[in-house]
Amino acid sequence: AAISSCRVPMGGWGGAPVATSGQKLPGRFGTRRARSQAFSRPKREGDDMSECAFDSFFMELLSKSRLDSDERTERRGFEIGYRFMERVIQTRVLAMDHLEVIKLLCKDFWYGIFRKQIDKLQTNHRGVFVLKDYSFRWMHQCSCGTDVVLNKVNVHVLQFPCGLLRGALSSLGLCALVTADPPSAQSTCSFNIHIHHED
Amino acid sequence: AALRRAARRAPGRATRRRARGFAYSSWSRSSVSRRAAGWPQTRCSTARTATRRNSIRGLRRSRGVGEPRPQCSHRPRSVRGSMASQNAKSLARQGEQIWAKMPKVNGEFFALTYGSLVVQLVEDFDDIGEVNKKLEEMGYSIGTRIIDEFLAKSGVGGCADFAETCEVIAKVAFKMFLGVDVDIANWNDDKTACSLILPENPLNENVELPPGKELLYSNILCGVIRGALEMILLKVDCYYVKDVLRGDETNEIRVCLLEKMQVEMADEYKES
Repeated sequence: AAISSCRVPMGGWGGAPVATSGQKLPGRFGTRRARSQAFSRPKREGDDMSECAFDSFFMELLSKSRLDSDERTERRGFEIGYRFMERVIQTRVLAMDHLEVIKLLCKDFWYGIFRKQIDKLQTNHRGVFVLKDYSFRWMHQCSCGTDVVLNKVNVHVLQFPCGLLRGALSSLGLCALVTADPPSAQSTCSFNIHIHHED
Repeated sequence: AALRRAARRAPGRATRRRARGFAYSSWSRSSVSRRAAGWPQTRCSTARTATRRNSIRGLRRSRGVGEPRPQCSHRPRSVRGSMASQNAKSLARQGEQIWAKMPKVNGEFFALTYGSLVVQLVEDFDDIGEVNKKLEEMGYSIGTRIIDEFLAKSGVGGCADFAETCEVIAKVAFKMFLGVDVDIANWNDDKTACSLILPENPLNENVELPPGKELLYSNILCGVIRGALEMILLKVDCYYVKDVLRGDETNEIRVCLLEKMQVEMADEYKES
């Protein structure tokens, strides 16, 4: 049985409690104001940085990583996702089932990186989840189509966020396989998560 | 007295049009047309309203010979886009305004990504000097692109000299992109080299360097400055003097102007 999580006082990554399965706390993750409040903490000087600077840095990183293999990019994403998830759940006490873990991923983790949540979450309740983002920032400049070479490049770029998700899940104790579908429309991405039940 | 007044009359419409060189929609007695027509002094808005007031009333106030012109505290408004009259405080204010308007992302994620990049480079290359050079090259290619974004988003005009360029970099650019307040110090005599002092570096969050390594962790910043300035035809040498990760109190980047480049045509376009 899932143990209800206790509320954590402000001072870390959000004081909003995570709901136990089946119980929705009123308006916690719904409104945008609650969202920003969940992430408000005493801001240090230089805590944030501007979007365009980060985007240009990341584009440079991606162009350099085009020479690397898919696996290497994914492994780098894994390490970064692992550490970032550790920071996200720094002061929470969590004991949740798989669906809540994925919801945490969609909301807090994705928000922490992209300042927006995953747009659509689908599941078959047997350990397979599909996460869809309709305006994925890193894919804005990538064109999409049926060209095989183009699809390979796009999938290579998407290996990094796949690694992020896999690392995040691993830091929460879940072993999973994350793949990405080649984007069908401009800057629309979907990630497939298969959770291994042996763990 | 009447002759003197006639000689000092405002330039007529034809003169103004000729001086301006092209048609403009509003025939105002703007400072640009005055200056172009050769009037010695650009008058501020106080004087302009006085002129209008006088002409509406239909009389010209004649002043006595000995009476001095009323002193106006408004400084002449410079030509639009020039930064000749801006000083450090207004630049800082401008930087903060733009920083407030910029969409922001999480600095921690950026620090993590940058950290893993440096770790990967250190693993790939044996020589630490190579790693420093690679970071600087990455910064260079970022800088060549980021200058366009900077000029578009900040709206600063041309700088009069290298000193002003450095001021703009410190107060506006660093604030706008990284959210840090940077000071300038240690100018040399020619005003061609200065130090940018960063009190805190968002890249350095939770970073510890192993002792004894000569790694310049944030060398990418030097590359960004060098790349950006090269796109506006200033060749600079940019390097780290002090680094918090190596035990000093602040981060200090030294920017030295090497030369002002000229735009030249390639050989095949030159006439023989």
